[in-house]
This record gives sequence, structure tokens and C-alpha cells, in this order.
Amino acid sequence: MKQLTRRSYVRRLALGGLLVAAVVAISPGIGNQASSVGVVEAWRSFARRGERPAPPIAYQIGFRLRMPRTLLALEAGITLALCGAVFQTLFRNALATPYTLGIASGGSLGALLAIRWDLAVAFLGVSAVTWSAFIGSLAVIAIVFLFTRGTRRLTTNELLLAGVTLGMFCSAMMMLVTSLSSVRQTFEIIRWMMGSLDTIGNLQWTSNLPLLVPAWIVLVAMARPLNQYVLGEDLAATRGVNVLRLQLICILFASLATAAIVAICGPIGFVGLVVPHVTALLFGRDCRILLPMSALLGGVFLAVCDWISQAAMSWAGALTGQSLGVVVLPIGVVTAVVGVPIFLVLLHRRAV
Amino acid sequence: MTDPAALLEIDSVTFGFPERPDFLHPVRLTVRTGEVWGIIGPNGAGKSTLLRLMAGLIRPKSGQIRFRGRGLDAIPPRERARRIAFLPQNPPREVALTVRQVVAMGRYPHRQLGLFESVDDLRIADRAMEATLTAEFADRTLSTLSGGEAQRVHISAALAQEPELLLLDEPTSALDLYHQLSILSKLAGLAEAGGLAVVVVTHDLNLAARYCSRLALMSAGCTVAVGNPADVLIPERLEPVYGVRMSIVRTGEGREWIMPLGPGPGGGGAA
Repeated sequence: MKQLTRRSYVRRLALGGLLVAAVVAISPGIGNQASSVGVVEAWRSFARRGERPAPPIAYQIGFRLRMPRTLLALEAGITLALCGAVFQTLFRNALATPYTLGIASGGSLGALLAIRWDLAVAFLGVSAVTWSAFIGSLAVIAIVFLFTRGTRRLTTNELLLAGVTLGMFCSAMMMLVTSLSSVRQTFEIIRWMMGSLDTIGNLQWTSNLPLLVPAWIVLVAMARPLNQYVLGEDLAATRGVNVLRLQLICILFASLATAAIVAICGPIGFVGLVVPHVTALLFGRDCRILLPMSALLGGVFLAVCDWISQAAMSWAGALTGQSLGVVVLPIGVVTAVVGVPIFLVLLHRRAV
Repeated sequence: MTDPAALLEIDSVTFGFPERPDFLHPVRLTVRTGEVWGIIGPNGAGKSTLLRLMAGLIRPKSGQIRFRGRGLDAIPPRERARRIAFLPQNPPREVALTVRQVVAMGRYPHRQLGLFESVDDLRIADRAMEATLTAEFADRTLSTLSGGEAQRVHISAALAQEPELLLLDEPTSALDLYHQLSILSKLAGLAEAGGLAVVVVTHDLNLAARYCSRLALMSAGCTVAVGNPADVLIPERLEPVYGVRMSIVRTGEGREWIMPLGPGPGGGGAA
């Protein structure tokens, strides 16, 4: 890896930005296979969006169904990959993910409780399940921060252990809630646990941007102190980095952003683990490039996985000559099927 | 009393760990610009603790540390980082960054804003790499280097920080003979040229004798002897501290040459 210069930095980020822009641009033409609206047709209809009494069907499919879904996939992928890269750096652990501190488990437990007790009230246009999941994640974050209270030095290993233990506790409680649920509720619980990019109710991808965008900016801005942190806490401290503050800021913002995604999409796996590793392999471990590139590639990865999840069954149908119907695969299945082989190959290459 | 020529004053400083509350007994010494200090003594004598106190990584239990007359605690971390550089005993080697990157990161406290090193920063980093003979592998990844090579890279980074006070914890422990001598003579030269004071924790008494202008001999949390090498490096002082019988020879250049003869009757570290 060459020294990072302004020029190479801008070029790489422009590449990532272009990929994201390309995903957004073709998103109206890809998606739900029940309709055959293509990219060109969708964009043509864009000019006629003001028609009365209603905009063309192609516009509605392309820009009211498909594009918002892709934008949600992008924002979820950006958040999970960025937080994964931050946690892997912060905990000096290649296996750290945004969920390592138990945030996803807390969120899932919250969602399960809402499903089990059939909470149907929506607040501010957001469903009770989403709120309950968010509150569950916040509770875990609060416990993690109580755990760190009063320390002048944060031992990341102890924090990891505490987080994993909290996650295990939440998982155990999830088993309890599931065992007390009806068949219908159990089905709903299992679907929720798979993760999904179906926008629930009228919840739009824009609704959590006020939380996510500041978190993205703060985390990417931590790149230079995080680079120093990689050299060790003592060295970072004598170079003027407030190590404890850096750790707490990273944990707080990464946790909140992750919680905001888990509440809407459920625990989508592998994005936060695999994408930072692939990014590091392609662009190096300098946090200045690792953090923003992980984010951009994470967004693209999840959006593409979402397209595959929508198209996979009709591809399978075309291959076998049978109609398998319009089934959207759970996004967690696709990210795992795509992500796990990549990760194993990477691990193997490192081990060789 | 504030000494006007003093860079760093350690004034009756003590320190304790939770499990050893009276670890460091009152230490008093003054580091002046242009000096190369060697802190010597057996394992567990408190050498690294003293160095970490000087770096501001830990706070004295009592007493005061002043940098240019100001309390070390009162200097904002960024400003302190521009004036004092510290290299821990075992800096990480498994770092997937290039040598040039790691050295340029020493410029961190000088650059508040902006993502990239300036042309000046890179020039200073290049010069620091030349000083430690690491420029030839500037584009290699740190994790691919040998222990001694990585140690020289970390020393370069500390030099690139352009401090007034350079604190190094066993900086030559992994270096071959040639690089031990070249690095220490470089550091001594920089100190002599002015604008820099160096404090080195070391186990190599002969290197200390050759390059240090002042020595502090520590044993069990006490500074047993502080002064010029000729006054500290005498068998009556060293033998009880190290528990080793020694013969000390004066070389033609007026330097001490310490020759360990064998373990003494008292055992290691007995003082």
C-alpha cells in the first residue's frame, strides 16, 4: 500500500461514490420481479411523474417502491459496515461486528416482546415493534456505559466480554419469550430475526437519517485518532489523543447508529463483519480510507444482496423450468450466502 | 526552586500501584536540554514507571513534575505531545500500515486539522527515516519487518514528532550492534546540537557509559545514585544493586567499560 495522498484518497472515494450513485441510478429498474419495469422505462416515467389523476405505474414501482427500498439498503449497509470497521479497530479484534456489544440482541429482545404482546400502537408513524427494538438496543447501550462508568482506562477486552455476555443473556430471554408465544407469533418472531428491508408501514428510509448522518460524520472524523490508537493506547495518549474519550465517542455513536438500523431492519448479518475485511484487503488499513470506503462498499454490498434476494427465486424458476412464485429471500440468507464464502477465503489467505 | 536551565524537573515524586502503594520512593532529578540521561537498574526497579511519569501517562502520588517551569498536568495534551515524545517498551509490530505512514503519524500533534500530512510533514518524516536508516524500506508494511527494523521505525516516528524531550524505553533492546551504536550516537548528536534532551531506559551499561551524559541508577523504587557516568558506574554502587560481581575498566577515551564477572552472593536485584 502506498502512502495515502490527497489525490489517491479523492480517487478512491470517488470510485466508491460512483458505485453508490450507480446503484441508486439503476435501482428503479431492479427489484420486485412481479413487474417487468426496466431501468429505461422507469426513468422515462420519471418525466411524467406529475400526471393526473395518478403518476404512471412505472413511476410508482420505480420511485415509490424500488428506489426507497434500495436507499434503505444503502443506509443500512453504510451504517453496519462503518460500525463494523470502527469496532474491529477499537477492540483490536478481527471478529468484532456492530452487534458484538449485544446491541442487536437487545434490539431483538425488544422486538420479540412487542410481537409477543401484540403491541400494535404506532407512535409518530413508527410501529411498536420498531420502537420496542430501539428501546431494547438503547437499554443494552445504557448497561454497557454503566459498566464503563468511573474508569479512567477502558479495558476493551473486559468490555467485549461484558457485551458478549449481555448478548447471551438477551438471547436466553428471547428463547423464553419465543417459548411463551403462539404459533403465529413464533412465525413473526422468526421472520423478524432474519432481518428484512421491507419498509414497515409508512416508515421511510429518511426517518432515521437525522440520527445516522451525524453518527457517520463523527465516526469517519475519528479516523486519524483511531490510526494513532492502532499503535497502542500509551503511544496515542502521548501524541495528544484522549484515548478514553475516543473510545466512548466511537462506542456511543456506533451503537446508536446500529440500534437505529436494527430497529428497522432487524439483525442483518455479515455486512458488518465481511465488508471491512474486504475493504482492508483492497485499500489498506489506514482508517482514513478504511472507514469511508467500508461505508460505501457496505452500502453497495447490501443493496446488491437485496436485489439478489428479490430475484433469486425467479432465477431458480427459470433454471428449473418451474414457476416458484414471487418469493423474496430473507436478506440475512443472501448476505450470508454471499458473505461467508468471501470471509472464509480471506481467512484462508491470511492463514497461508 | 525552579532552575531556569531545567527542561524537566522531577521534584520529590512518589508513585504507587493499588497493590504496591509505596512503589516509587521520592525521586528528584533535573533534565536539561542537551543532556542524554540513562536510567539503569535491575528488573522491577521502577525505571519504566519513572519514564511513564515523565511522559505524563501516570500521575505522581505526591511531589511535582515541571516542564519548563509549568506543572506537567497543566499543559494541554496536544501541546505536551508537541514537546514530549515517548516510545513504550514494546510498541506494536502487527500493524498493517507502511513504514512511511507510521513515521508520518509522529506528526499528529503538529497538525490539528486536515486529513493529510503536509509536504513539510513528509519531509520531516523522510529525514527521521534517514536518521534511523529505515528509509530503504519506507514503503513496506510494518508487520513484515523484523523486530529490530520495527523498533527503528518507531524511533523514527518519535523523532518526527520533533520533541524537546525524547523518552525512550529500551529503544535498543532488539537492535544489532551496528544499529545500537548508530542510533544512540545519532540521538547523542541531536542532543548535543541543542534543542533536545533524551532519556533512555536501558539494560546495556556499556551503551549507557558510552553515550549518556547523566545516569540515574535505580533499585527497588529508589534512585540509588544520580550523576555523571564516572560517579555512578563504580563497582561499589553497581554490585549490590545488580547482585553481580563486576570489573570496571577505563578505556583510552576515558570511558568506563563494565565487565560482569558472575552472579554475586546476594542474588539478583538485592539492594
